[in-house]
Amino acid sequence: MTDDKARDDTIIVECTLDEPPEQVWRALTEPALLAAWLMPNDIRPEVGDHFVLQGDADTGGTIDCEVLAAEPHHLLRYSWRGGEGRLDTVVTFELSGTPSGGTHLRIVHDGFATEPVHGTVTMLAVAPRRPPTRTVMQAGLRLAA
Amino acid sequence: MVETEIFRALADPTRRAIFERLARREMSVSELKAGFDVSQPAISQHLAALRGVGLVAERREGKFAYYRVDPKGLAPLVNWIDRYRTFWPARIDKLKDVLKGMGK
Repeated sequence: MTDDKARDDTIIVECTLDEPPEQVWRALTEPALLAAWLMPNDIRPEVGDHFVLQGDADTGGTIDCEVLAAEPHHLLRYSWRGGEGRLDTVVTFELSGTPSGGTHLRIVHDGFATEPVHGTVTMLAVAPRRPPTRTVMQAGLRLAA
Repeated sequence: MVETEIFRALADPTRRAIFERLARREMSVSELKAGFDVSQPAISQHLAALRGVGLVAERREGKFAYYRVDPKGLAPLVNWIDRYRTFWPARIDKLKDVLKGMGK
């Protein structure tokens, strides 16, 4: 598991799982399975579907999500918006098979300092990052360090 | 919540650019205006918004005012990111348990 610190406003977590992508996909997209490791939810892995993750204090309450991309066994991306619009971020799950039959899972959580999404789903899906924002964050973080 | 306001303040491209310039060095309003195609009152308004959420600090010297980035301002945002930095690895551990429990 690695955590890329190079991009200060993006969280990247990677891991290798023993199970194949088909099985990991189920754990990411079936409500009961997803609830067992993430949060209670009503996910349907179809682009445009809105669902809710019932978060607790850890996540600042309920997370509103919209599926932005769903390619079975490969890619799942949804918006991750904290209750009352506090956070407006995007989470991407990338799955790839490993030679030993397992799955390499890469989770990218970004958009911590971007504009509200409102109707710009396509743009976000194509270009999830906006360089100026990253520069801002890095400038600020350098000062904060 | 403070984070919302910070997100909102930085959502405006001009404001973001102002913040970025001030991150490099302290400037007066007229110095800042030199780089932008906006009026001085507009710059002042953006500065007020940035100061309002604690991203920018003002220093007065006689009748002149100088602005710089307040390093503490981004802290609430950094806290959110830090929270999720530990959140995801912890959830992956749970995911591994769930996968084991599913059988093949």
